[in-house]
Amino acid sequence: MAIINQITPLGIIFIFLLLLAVSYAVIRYRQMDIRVVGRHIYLYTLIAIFIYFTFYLVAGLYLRFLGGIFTPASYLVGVFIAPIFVFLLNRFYRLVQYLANRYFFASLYSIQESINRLARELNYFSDIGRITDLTMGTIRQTFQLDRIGLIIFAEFEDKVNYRVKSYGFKNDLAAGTLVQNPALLDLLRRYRRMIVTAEFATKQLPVNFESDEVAARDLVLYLKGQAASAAIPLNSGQKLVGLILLGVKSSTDPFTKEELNQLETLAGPVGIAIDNALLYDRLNDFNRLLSARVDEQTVELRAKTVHLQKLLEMRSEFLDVASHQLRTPVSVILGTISMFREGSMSKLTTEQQSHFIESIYHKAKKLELIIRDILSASEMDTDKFTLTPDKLKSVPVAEVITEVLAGLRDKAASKDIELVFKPPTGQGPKVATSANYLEQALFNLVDNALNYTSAGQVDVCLAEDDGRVIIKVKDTGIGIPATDQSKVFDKFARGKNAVNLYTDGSGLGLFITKKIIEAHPDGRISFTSEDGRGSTFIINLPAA
Amino acid sequence: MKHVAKKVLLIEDDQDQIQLYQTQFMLNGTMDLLSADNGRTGLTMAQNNQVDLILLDLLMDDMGGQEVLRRLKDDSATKDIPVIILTNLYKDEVKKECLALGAATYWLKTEVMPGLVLERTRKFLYPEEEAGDEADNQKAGFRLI
Repeated sequence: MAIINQITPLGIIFIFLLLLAVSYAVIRYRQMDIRVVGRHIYLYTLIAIFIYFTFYLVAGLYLRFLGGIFTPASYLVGVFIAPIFVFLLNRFYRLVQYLANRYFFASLYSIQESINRLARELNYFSDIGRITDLTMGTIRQTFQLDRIGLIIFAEFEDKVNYRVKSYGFKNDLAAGTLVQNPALLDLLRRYRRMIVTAEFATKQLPVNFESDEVAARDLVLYLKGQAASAAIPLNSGQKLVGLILLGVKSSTDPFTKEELNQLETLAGPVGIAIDNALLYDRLNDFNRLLSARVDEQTVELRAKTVHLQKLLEMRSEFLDVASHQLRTPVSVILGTISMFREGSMSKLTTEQQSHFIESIYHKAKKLELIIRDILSASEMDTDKFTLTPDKLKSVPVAEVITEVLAGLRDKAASKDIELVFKPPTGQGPKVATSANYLEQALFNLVDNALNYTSAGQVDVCLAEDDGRVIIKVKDTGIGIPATDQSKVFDKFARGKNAVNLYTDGSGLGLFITKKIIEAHPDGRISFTSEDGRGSTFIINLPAA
Repeated sequence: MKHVAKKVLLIEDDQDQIQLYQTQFMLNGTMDLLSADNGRTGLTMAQNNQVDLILLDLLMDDMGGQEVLRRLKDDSATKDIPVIILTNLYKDEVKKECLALGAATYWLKTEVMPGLVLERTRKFLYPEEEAGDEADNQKAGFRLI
């Protein structure tokens, strides 16, 4: 019993020291929450009681059964008792802690739990909205805050962009002023601790922050301006990714040291989660951009393929028709000559024979024209065919018309069609053109008019009006039915009513004419036509 | 041996060619060559003239050769008249289409010269003559395709 008496004063001293320490803590940290102190007193007192109780129990047993505490047998048993004690102490500590958390200090416990849960949950989200909502919601509810705000800083190519989310604060949190204050941002980036508005101004900053006094003052001014009681910088590595602004607790109590620690601890995972989410967003944006590009290209490629396919189809159709148009005169030439070779023709009169010779001569001429047309058409059948200024010369149109008509007089006469053109007095209007091309275009129009006219006249008019030269080729032929008018300038197009009149041309005349006229700068071609009454084709070129 | 003159109808829109074939048939004549310069006239003539064979062009303005052929084969009065396509259009699909529609064969004008047209037509219409004719046998290569 003497030993017990010896120990008890020591215990009293410890209890005294404990009280002293608690008092110091309360005085030193004015934010000390009395509940936290109470919880600690409760925990440590119970553990002390447990140790005392065990000690007395073991000591009693030693005295009764082993003859004393300091006997060799006691030491030996002590070897076994020590681990059992440690085990039991650990168990007891947990039990006491559990009871404390569960029944006596539930709100304290729930703070810790919530913060831990938040830190865990942050790992599961990559969506910036979810992360900020979760963080702000948890902090606000756990600490019963009237306001909470979060600013996210996204540094991108030397520029700091920001996003703001707030509950209870003014909407934009004046984040713009923060972003424009690099010294302040730098201070936040390095400080990495919780900033309590009421204390920060008087806080002894570490030495390297002395130069940041202005920034520190700005920060306090800013926080006061926002009526924020505290702020938590959020960092990821060396990067400042955000700032949480805290309002006031509903109890109006200040934050305790414990709470500040918890919030500071939380800042790490929240900062990293936000940084990751920002990166993830950037990656997503990039992916979206990439896939949009891919889609765009795919559409373009598909359109090109379709276009190419169409071109190929047109090409093969062109070849089919072109080869037919070429074979038609060839078959007559070959057929006629074969009859001469076989001797059939010798049974005919000389007059009849020369008729056939005349026929092959004309077919050969026609063949030559068809070849020329097919070559012209394939030359012009690209979007690139234009008459560049270097190919253009000022040409008197009347001369070209006269020349074209001269070449077609015989044909007109043979069909008994009157070919009318009243040349202007003097040289008449001029256009900037390539004489050969204009001649080809006009030839096609007049030739066409003759082909589709069986009686009457083909009239060519030349006029100048308001800086434009207008050439009209008017016939009294079969005209073009309304249903076929849209296809007049297509390759190998021929009106449904063009029965028996002219099927051995190239079928390319109007196509070529249109291409030639439209290859001129601001050149236009149009027509009017009435089924059964005739057609008028109008070339309209700028005067030169 | 004398034959009853058989009638061949040429449906062809190019006057020069009509004239050419007509001359060929006239000069070497055991057959009469009638001609129509468009599809519709051709159809009417085929119905009214008891023709034995039709030579049909394809690309014609008012009615294409295929349509003429279809109508000929649809009409009980003309469906048994053999039709030979004589054209400048060489396209496999068109040839197949015409044969499927009931054309007897398909000749290209640049390959089958007027003399050959006459000869083949004659053999087509008078097959019995061929057996006894030595000279013709040597030209067996000209049999119908």
